[in-house]
Amino acid sequence: MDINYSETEIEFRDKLISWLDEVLPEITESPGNLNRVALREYDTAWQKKLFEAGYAGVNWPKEYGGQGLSPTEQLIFLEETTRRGAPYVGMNFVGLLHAGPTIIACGSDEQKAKYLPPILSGYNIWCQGFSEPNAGSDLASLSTKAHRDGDVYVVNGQKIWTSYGDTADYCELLVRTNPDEKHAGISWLICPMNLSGIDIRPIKSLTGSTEFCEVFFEDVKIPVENLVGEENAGWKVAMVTFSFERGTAFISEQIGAFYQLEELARLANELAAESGTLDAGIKREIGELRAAFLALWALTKRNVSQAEKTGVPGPGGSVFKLYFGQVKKSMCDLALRILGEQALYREGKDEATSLDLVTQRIYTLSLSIAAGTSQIQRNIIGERILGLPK
Amino acid sequence: MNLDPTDEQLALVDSVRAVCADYFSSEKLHQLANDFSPEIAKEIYEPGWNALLELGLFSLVTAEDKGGVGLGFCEAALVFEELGRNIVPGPVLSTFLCGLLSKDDILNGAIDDIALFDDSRKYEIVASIDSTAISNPDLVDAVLVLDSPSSSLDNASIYYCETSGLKLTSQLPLDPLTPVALAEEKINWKKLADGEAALYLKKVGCVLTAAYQTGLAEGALNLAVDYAKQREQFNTPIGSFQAVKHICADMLTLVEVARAAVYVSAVGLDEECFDSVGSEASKTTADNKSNTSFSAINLDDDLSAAKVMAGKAAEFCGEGCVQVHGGMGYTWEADPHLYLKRAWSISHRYGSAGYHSTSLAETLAN
Repeated sequence: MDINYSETEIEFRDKLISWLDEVLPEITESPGNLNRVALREYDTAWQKKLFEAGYAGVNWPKEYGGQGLSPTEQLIFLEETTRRGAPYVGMNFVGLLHAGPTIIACGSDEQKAKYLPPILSGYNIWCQGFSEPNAGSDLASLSTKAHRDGDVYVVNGQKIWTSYGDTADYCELLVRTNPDEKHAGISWLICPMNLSGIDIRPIKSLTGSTEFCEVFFEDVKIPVENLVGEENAGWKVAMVTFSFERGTAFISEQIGAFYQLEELARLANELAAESGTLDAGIKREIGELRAAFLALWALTKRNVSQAEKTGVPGPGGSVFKLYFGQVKKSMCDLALRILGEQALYREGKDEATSLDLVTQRIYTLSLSIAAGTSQIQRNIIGERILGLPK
Repeated sequence: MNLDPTDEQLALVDSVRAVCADYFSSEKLHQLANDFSPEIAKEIYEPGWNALLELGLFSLVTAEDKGGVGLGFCEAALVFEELGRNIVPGPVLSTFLCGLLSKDDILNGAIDDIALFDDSRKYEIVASIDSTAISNPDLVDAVLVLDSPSSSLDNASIYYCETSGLKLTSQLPLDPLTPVALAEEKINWKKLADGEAALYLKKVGCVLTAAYQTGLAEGALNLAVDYAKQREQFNTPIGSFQAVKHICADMLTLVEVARAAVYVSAVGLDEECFDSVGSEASKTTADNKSNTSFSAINLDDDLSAAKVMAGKAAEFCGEGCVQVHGGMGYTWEADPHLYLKRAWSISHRYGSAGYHSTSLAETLAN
């Protein structure tokens, strides 16, 4: 066992740090989640900057615009960018963290060549079209239909909780191509969001932002070449998407949590200075949270070093996601208790790595729902890891 | 970076598992739980102890040219994890630490009285010089403390006392596998050493206790899962009910989180202890560390995190295992209470969760 970084990894970190020190002072503050057009502009501008400097897609293949480096170097990239307060992945989330990796793992060479480079350069934004009004936790019961008509699939139905649906260029879309089968009747399509017949209606979430949408499909014609994997084998492709979504997509948020906890300790000390002493119970709670975050960081290192061998994160992602959500919620709960009256107002923007702990507490309600509820994660752990009966 | 055991390390764990299967089976543990008298201990416990001794457990990290096995703390952590999985009782860790004191290169010269230590004897380490409760009183030849009167870490000392001179009264123990006696008079400690050695042993004790706790947690989880697959109610295995399945999933989650923290701190221990001897290689490691930003969190933080999380995992899984077993879990004959009581009985060792949490908060504030 070894937790050291190799020479080349250290060199990578050093170069990255100097580059960040050079460019970050010029970066303005994010316009925030409520201004969707400006946010897209902002998030993609940062991605473009990364691309031009040779830091986009650290562990993506070189031939598609990536850097061809290891998952460990990607981890270093996330560590340093988060630590130095670089802009959050934001609207590039779906493309960079699960649609792109899924296409790398399951897409054809043509699809990789066409879709991967514009994700890395910040030219294209992706959204996720998985859930439906009647297919949430039971996702495989989805009913948005696609029937083949010559060289197109004709799609009819409705998606919901489509993150970045309002600004995206492409959608990773799960459709039913065989009504007689459940899991074996699903296909994974790349859907351009500018096709006619698509109607997008933003949903205001309880954070106040509109980052997800309802999307209606009426006779939308998607070219057959946009099928990823085999027809009716989309569930397998979706499982790959999930493993990235649960296994690696939360890493920068996790790193952000270290700094949020530091911020919380600072706040607690500040308030303690006013009142005399820091309550021993609160101190201990902060320490327990730190223990949990350190252990989760160890787990991430373990998962990343395993992914280096297998290419795709294992079901351990469910373990990480389940526990991370719990710990981050506990941290934000403690923050509200420490803040007292100061918790009556919000300062931060709706970003997963913001230091505004009031906004964070509201946002963390999503952690046990999005990307599979905590109940579904526990089913996955129970059935797929522990082998308990369905 | 790699946090998975190698094939050689897994083979070592297998050999420990084989010893445990022979000498510390559920049946044997229950015999001890029913009567841990010196006679039964001699018949049931001693053969297992000797098998562990033969395996080299008490000189696992001692250099080969000193007659040891020449492995590191990663291997030791994996071994203690396996011992925990099998609820192996007795003064195993304390005696392992005393082995370091008498054989280890790093502690060479820390104490003068090396003759007090040899492989035919067993040792127990208690929390402070004011301790009166002695675990495993009939098994051990001597008791030690790794602490100072003020319990200040900078000024730790090692104290020693032979058990033959103590007036002890047996108590009804919390954990039937950990007999306890109270010393009737204040113990007359002999100071063996000051300084670094005590600190070093405390760190090792902390990581290996956490490894043992992780093993306990996983053992309890495995037992609960096996039971949930077999036991039927409402005409179906209870493990198919989410109310039961989700307890098991939460148990596994804590086990995996704790295990990762334990492995990272064991690697850290290896680096601090074996690479600090001044070789070129170790210098590179130290230089690298200063360069790796917050991932180079210091060993003290890592081992505190491991102890907090492994303690939580052991207690949660022990209790979860009782709960999944229902009425059967509340019986003396079933195994679940052995995991939980063992978890409780070692939770304070080498710093309680409260102690380590507080110190983690303090390093954050500074």
